Amino acid sequence: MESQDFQYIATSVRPKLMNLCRSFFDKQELAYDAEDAVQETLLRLWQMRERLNEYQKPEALAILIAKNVCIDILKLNKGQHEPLDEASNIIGNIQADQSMITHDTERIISNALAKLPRTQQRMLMMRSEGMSMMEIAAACNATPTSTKTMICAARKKMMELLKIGRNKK
Amino acid sequence: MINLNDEKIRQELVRRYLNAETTFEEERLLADFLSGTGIALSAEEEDVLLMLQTSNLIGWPEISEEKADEFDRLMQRGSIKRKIVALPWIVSAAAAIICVVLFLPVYPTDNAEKQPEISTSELLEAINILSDVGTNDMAITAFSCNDGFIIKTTTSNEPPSSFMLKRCSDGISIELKSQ
Repeated sequence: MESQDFQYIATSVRPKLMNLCRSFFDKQELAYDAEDAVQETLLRLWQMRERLNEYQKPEALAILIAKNVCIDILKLNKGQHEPLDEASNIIGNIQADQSMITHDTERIISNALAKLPRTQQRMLMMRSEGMSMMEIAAACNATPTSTKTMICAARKKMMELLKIGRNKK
Repeated sequence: MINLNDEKIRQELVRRYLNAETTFEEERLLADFLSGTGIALSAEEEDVLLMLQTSNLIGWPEISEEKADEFDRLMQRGSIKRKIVALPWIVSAAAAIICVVLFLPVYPTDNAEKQPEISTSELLEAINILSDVGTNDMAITAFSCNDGFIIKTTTSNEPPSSFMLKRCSDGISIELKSQ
């Protein structure tokens, strides 16, 4: 699948995913931003891009992924009785696998990552997975310029946080 | 091919990486170099290497149809719950409307309002009183109005007079008043 194909799919399916996730969180009375769930959905869709040709309707796959993401988020939040605050707004998958992270450096980076705004966290994740700036922009409903600016700000902030973490050691 | 053994080139690449100006391939190259070579890394390079390894942290749960089914079930349950929550409101509203209709005070009809409250015998009694006090050539006319009757008397010598005959507020006695 070409990069333009993904950008087209992401842009066209996004409104449907937003409605789906928003109505799910509303019904479950879950204080979670639908935008985050959509971004995660599109990231997972991108990871499955090689298999997209197997599906007649990529939109159906996107909706299947979105439903999975919503359930994952719900399960993650069931054990969490306090409302999410900005500091603990770590990406769900990192938090779920926190117990598996044993290495000090990995813990340092996941802690630093958790201190970034959610969109910046996800943009860094998307980039580290190999998404291009244009693809990240399409997935996050942003312009390529603002995407680049946000990634730049996120990386510099991460450097500061890692430096602080290193100095504490 | 970029020679990353050259510290200046490496630093320039790190600078471009932090400014989000590098391609993904350049970032992979930098990550491979920093993690694979035995050279001593600066503190900044160590931090960049940590950031380049962010993808190692992601452990994605499997995508499954079962979760999609669970999603659909929860969405359905959500709508049933909402219907149940709405039901008492609908019942309360219906009960309130029935109460209003049942206990609404009954107002007299228009026909009842137009009927004079003064009876014919009472009218005749009032005319008799007026004729007793008046002269022999006095003519008396009466016509109904909303509150009772207006009675007009005319004589050959005096100007015409009119009286209002109506029911008093006690609902029993009647009043004859000069206008």
